[in-house]
Amino acid sequence: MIRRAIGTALGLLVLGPALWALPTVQQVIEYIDTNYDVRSDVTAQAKITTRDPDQGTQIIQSVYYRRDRDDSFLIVMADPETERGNGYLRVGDNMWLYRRTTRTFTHIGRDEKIGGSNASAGDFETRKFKDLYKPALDSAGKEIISEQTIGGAKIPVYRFEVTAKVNDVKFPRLVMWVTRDKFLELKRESYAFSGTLMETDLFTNYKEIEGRYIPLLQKFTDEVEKGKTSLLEISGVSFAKVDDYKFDKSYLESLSK
Amino acid sequence: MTRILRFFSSRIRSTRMTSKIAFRNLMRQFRRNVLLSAGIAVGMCILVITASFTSGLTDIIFNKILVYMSGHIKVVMDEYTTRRSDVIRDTARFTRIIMDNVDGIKSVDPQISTFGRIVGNGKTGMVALVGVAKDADFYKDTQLESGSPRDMYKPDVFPGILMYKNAAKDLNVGMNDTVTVRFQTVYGQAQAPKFKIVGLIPSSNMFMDVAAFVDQETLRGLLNLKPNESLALQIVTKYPGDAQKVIAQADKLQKALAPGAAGVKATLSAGSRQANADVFALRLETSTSILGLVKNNLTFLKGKIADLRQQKDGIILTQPLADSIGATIGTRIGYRYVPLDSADPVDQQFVVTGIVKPVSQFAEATAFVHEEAFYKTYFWNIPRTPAVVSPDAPFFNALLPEWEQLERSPNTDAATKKMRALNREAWKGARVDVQTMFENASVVIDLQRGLNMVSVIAVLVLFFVILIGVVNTMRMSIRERTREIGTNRAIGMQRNDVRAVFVLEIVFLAVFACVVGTALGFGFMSLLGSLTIDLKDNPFSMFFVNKHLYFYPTAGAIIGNFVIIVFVSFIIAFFTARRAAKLRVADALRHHE
Repeated sequence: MIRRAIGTALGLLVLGPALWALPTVQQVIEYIDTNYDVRSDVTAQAKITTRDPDQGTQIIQSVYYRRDRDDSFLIVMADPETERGNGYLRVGDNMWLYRRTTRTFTHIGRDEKIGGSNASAGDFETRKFKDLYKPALDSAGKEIISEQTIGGAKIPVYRFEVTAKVNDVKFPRLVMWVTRDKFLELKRESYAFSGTLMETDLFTNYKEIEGRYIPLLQKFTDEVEKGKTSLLEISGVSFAKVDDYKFDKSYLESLSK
Repeated sequence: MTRILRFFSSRIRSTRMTSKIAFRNLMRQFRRNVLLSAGIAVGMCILVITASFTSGLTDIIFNKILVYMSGHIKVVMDEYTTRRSDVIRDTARFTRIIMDNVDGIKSVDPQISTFGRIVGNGKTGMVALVGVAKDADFYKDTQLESGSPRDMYKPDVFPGILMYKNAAKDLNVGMNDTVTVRFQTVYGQAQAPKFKIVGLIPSSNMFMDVAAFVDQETLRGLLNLKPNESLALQIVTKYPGDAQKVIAQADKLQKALAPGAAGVKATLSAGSRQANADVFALRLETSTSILGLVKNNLTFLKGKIADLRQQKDGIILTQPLADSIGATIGTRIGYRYVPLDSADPVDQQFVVTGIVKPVSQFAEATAFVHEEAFYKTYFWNIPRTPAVVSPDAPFFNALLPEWEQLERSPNTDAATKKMRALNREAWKGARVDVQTMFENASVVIDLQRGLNMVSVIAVLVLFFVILIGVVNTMRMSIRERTREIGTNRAIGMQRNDVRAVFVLEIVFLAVFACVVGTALGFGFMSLLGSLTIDLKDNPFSMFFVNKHLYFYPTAGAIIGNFVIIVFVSFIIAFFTARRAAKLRVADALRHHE
């Protein structure tokens, strides 16, 4: 009995640091990618409520379709009335903006804002997080990662920092908080090229849908222009196959008839 | 000879006499003529004011706004790889081409500027952030209300910024306060630096208030531009008023900017073996005719062109090159070159999909890759040592060019249509557009023409009234002086002289009225220009400089109007006076009222 207790104690002494050691940032990045990796067609509805001290509150609603086969997507605007019927279609490398009023398609870049919201067309691309960011290192050359608790419920999280691997990402530096058990992102601070904190984002109401965790409520707070916030509510998420005809210009045109 | 001299001497005597009589007659009917000349003077006054006003508007837009925004000629390179941005990667090369091909250049200025949102003390607004070079004329031309422009370079916690006074007031900030400006770098990264206000410029125009000025090199870094990069090149010429010459020079520059093939002198390696090679990209996605061109000119020893179309990270090597690095189909190849603006080499991996015979006019060690491979690295990292091939080389048209050229646009409408059409296209690469301020702002020229036309129509109506006045005055004068005409004719005055007397009366009157009208015009312009009118954000404030109406009288416009009025008066008088000259002497003497 004593021998067994001593054995357990010795075992803990040897293996303990390994069991309790922090994960590497690269591991966390891999976990995030695994959870966000979309491996099927998607249909979802999104409602974005933007609050601006100067311009008041604006609500934008849209329907999002994604085809996994070629990573195409279609966003059809449902609200407000001025945007209804407009759409953003990406097939292959080309992204198009369809305007219902003029019935014309314009070739757009990934920086194009979606329906006047802060979201841009590029945000809907499924580039892997690990292809965009790498672990940030401190002055001693070590990865910046620590254990913390977050919120009133004192949720145990890992806080870590990443920097951009490529030039064309909106925020060159991110600080992120992910849960220790499932590596679900709860909070993110996004920093500008100059190092200024630009945005603080909160991800809540996680729901498990077909083995994947999706934050149904996301809040984006502008840290430069105080008082500006955007609230993204996701609903009607389905991973069922989306018909091919939806990823065709003629489908968008037919919606305005 | 004597007869000729005698003829001229008699004509001079006769002209002096007719002028004397004409002037005396003007004085005899003083009140009537004063009224008529007042009418002509008002017309001339209106013409001088409207012409000066429209010239002032053009001067504001072309010489006080557009010249700083775009120069007289502007070269823009629109680049689209993973994102779209305006950026000239090799500014030095483009500047050289401009200097060699455009005549009468005052300066070639790299454009380092951006639009963004500026955040002050609880207030936000739009801003056009302009980078100013240390040696720019800006420092001589700009008077500050407070602060010193050179304080932009003083070492401080935040870099300095110069703002217009009204814009600072709207943001609730003043001297030594800090503002945050948010914009995007050329790669789309968010950017939000803080600046300290080191100078306030007196507000002169609502449109100018949007601008704020910072050190060019500071802004270059903030935009993530490398030392040899700029957003565009602005050419200021010595002949801004000569639209035709500016446009002709832009056309000449367009021809000089014909692109070569995008090529890189790179190091290719397979395992431990490496070799230097010229690498070009094939436009395999563009059209089937180009694919045919490639097929006809590349003799495949191994593999086929379809393999490169399918495998976008594939590479075709010439046989000597493949032999030197021991590569065959399926070998992984390392590709490395040093970019123009960095010592860090660019690395990419390829897989050999084809081996071909050497191609005439290309180097023996040449490789061809899919155009998609160049979109990943070439445009953002143009090579320090480019590979060059003659435009006469076989299948030159199938090679990805350094850039494409957009057609020159004759006016704003055509430029807008061109941009709309281009926006509908799916394309990648780089496109160069040569623009002049005249086609960029042909709307302004049209507006100026429109305003001139409106004033001409208004004055024509006025002239119609004057015309009736002149004709009526002359008819009355002829009627009252019929017996005098008869007497003069009876004592030897010729018909031409009779006609000349009446014509000269009106011409004298018109000249006098125009001089008075011009003086009146200048008087009114000086009066209107001295009034201080604060229109704040009203769009009409664009017609104002420093809250004052801006007039820009030009000698050409004034002399032109002067000549037209005198000529019209002459024509009217000539035909009316002809009637007086044709009177028979006996009938004229018999005339009795």
